[in-house]
Amino acid sequence: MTKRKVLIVGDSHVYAIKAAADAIAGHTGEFEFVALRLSTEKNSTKIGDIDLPDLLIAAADLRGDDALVTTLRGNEYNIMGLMRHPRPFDIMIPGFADLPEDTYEELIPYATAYSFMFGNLKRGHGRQLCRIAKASAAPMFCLSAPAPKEDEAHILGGADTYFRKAGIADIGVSPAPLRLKLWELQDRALAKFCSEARVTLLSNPPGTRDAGGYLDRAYYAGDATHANAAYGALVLDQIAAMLTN
Amino acid sequence: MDPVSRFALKIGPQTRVATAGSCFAQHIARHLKASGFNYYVAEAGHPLISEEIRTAHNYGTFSGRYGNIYTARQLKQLIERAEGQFSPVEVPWIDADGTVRDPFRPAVQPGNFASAAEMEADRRMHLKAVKRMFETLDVFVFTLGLTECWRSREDGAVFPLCPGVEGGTFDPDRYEFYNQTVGDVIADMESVIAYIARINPQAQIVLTVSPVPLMATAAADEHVLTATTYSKSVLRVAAQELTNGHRNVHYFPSFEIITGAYNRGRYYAEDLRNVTEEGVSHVMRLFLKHAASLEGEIPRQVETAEPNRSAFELAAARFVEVECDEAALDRG
Repeated sequence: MTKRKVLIVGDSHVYAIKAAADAIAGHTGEFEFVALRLSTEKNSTKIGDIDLPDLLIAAADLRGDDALVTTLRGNEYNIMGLMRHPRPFDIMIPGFADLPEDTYEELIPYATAYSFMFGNLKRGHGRQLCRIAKASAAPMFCLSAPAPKEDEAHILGGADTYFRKAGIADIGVSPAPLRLKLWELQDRALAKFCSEARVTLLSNPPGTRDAGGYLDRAYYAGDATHANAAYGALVLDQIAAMLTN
Repeated sequence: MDPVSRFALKIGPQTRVATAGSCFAQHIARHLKASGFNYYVAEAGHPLISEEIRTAHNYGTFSGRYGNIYTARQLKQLIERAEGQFSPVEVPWIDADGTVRDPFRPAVQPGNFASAAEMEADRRMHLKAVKRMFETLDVFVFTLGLTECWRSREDGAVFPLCPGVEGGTFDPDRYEFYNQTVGDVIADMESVIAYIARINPQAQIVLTVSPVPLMATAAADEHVLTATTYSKSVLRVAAQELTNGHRNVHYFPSFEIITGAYNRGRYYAEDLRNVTEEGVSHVMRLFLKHAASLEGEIPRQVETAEPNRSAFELAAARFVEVECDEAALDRG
């Protein structure tokens, strides 16, 4: 029997899933998981596994009972707020902890931050996502980015050499509650974008977040922002369960 | 046509010019910005957010994010609120979808505020910025727009719009219509002038009267045409009295430039209310000629399609990108 193919493509968050998919490659099962990093060029060096034109061809080859999954644009919230901004800010979201008012200089209204986030998601990779969805007969899914890590020391310890030299330790990391709110903002914007693009958003796999809503330590990769292969394995289980049901 | 016969104010490229007022003041702000002058924005929004979004969310429309200030009473009360001398009893306005408006700037936040707590925190930041603006500006341009206003029966707090028009619910037991007299406008503006003189003695003030006629009137038994004439006459007389009474107050005749019969009404747009770009350009050309000794065309504002990323954002993006590359190694 031919396995149903699940093509998972995206930016850096795909590596955790790729590691999990590689670990089970060749095993028996209903699904064949193929995880690929979408190619990009950085400092004149090309990184990644597949270019967009080739991805469009691969997407077109999928059948209706296959699936296409993306992890695109998962780090927008970290660009906004992983590092402590020289003009500290907060965003208030009902149900989330506010920072003490004397610890920041400016409040960015939720609706303003949301518009900005949504615009950023829509540009660039967002357009790519629509093109990919249109190219394929398979249903398309988009993964929520892993929740942020609460542990500031882990983030600073895992920072790349370049940023350690640039003084990330002096600049500091944004307070964890703010990073959690930025992630929430991204997830809400992504949900709206997916809804408009007729793509199904898949939340974080159950059990991967701690009581505070942060990424559970068991799923930390060694760096500042990514989840590990164990997390990737849960994502594969989540996808398989959803496609089976 | 140049009806400016005396205008002692001089501004230079470094002069911090702040604006407030009715819709017409937005044109002044826009042209000042486009002309390379130091259009002073004390509440510019967080630099992390693109200029495109900040502009859409009314940062920089005026020097503070107060929205339109139509009446002298509104301006006076804004200052009193910024100074902590007046705390209106009016509570936040909740829309049907649960989002929240600031009754004193109900249209300033697209999408509204997410909660009353957010609205109040944003208002605290806003009022701080207003105070800072008055303390540090060099020139304050205020366009007097209306005499008609709606106010709280309880404490006299004045709203920019009738409650119920954009948020809030109209309740005749709580709100009342009031049409300011010349005496009211002069008294309110005297209070504003005294405040500015106290906290920023070198500051200069430019008064203009909006040439935009009323769209409707709430005055009993009045036609909108007679109501407009009353309103503009009161404001024009008040502006004259205030200019005559203070060396640091200057009247600029944008009202006359736009409404003068010499132009055969061509400075009004199709709706016969709004002012055409040609009319605004005429006003600003003369303003810059007399205040800045500039002749000729006003430079056009350069629009950028893509927002510029700040150095911080570029560094943050680089950090995340590098981290993303590192993720290939899955160090976890």
